[in-house]
Amino acid sequence: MRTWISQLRKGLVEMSVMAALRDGEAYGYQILQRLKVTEELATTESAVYPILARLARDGFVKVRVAPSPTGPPRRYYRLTPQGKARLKEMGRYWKGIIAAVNNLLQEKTR
Amino acid sequence: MMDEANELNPDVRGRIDAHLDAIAAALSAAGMSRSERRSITDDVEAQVLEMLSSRAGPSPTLADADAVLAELDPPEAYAREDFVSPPPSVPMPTPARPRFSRTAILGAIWAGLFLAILVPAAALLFFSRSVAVPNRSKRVAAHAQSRRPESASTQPGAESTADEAQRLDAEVNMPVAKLSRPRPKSSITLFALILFLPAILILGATVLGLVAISQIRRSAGRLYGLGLALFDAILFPLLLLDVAIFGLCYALTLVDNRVINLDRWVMIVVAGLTCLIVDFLLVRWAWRSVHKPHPAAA
Repeated sequence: MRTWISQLRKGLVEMSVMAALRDGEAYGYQILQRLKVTEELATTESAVYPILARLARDGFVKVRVAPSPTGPPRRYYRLTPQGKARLKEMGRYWKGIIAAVNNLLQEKTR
Repeated sequence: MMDEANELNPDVRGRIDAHLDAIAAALSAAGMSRSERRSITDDVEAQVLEMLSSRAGPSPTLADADAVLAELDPPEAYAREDFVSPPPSVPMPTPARPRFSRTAILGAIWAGLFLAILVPAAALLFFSRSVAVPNRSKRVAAHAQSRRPESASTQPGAESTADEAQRLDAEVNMPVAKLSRPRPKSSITLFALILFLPAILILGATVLGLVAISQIRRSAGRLYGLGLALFDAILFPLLLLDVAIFGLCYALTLVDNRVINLDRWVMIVVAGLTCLIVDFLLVRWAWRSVHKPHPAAA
């Protein structure tokens, strides 16, 4: 069961990270904190930071470097228009999958 | 800000750098580009320093650094292939374009049929009855004229005047169908249609509207047209409610004037305003209800 949950969450990390940026820009640790609010979405930095790097490389997020009071400059991430469109597509597909799986589960339990 | 990081205890700084170098090495071994390695290690460094600052303030010790690093993923975790070389991208299936609910359209058509068929049919029935059933007073005069004898007293075997009057009276009061021309069959059929067809159309439009609402809410965005579906579902119930309100207000005007002493037109205005308010509140409640997220779609 733990393996299944792990695989399921692994598939959702990218969408979760982009969704955490939907309301505005955030730096890496801040994104981790936003995801930790919901225990089911909590994930670690070794999963999130490489995804952020890949999203920046692919143009779905934009990076702004700003001074930090606690150390080196922080890297603030913000969704680009392409990123917002991709998140919208992901959300639509996600809702379809949810409805389909729910229907399947309801049929099986009849 | 960089000075604060460099002001760290050298041992603490060294421990953090070692951790970051190990991460960079793991990413490099997995084939990640330098810019991406730099991006990831910068984020990890920012997180470590923020955690240290929260834990130990401006002067963290080596123990603080070890405690913070122990909370993080080990450098080997960054070497997992699924993060440095994502699986071959599977093209995202093109989601089906949302379409307008056909059930809602069908319900609107049924509602439209109610007006398109009923009004002309009612008018046709009204005029057909006017032709088939002549006015009663004219009937009486015509019948009396046709039955009046030339001279009742001179004809042999003639009825007395009183008997004849009684017979004429009975004939005049006979059912209309026996005196006038028979009612056309089309009027009967039309009458049946007038009676049953509206009920079918009203029920059909309302049911189709409710079904469309349910389908749209479960579709998770694949169907739209909630406004039209709601219109279909509540149009006729609201109209019936309005008729009931008007009927109630009209009935109140028939009450003894000592109890309700208002002009009829005033009562009509009051009824109209009541209908508007009630309709507005019901439509608003219904609108909010159907727009709540559906558990199955969420």
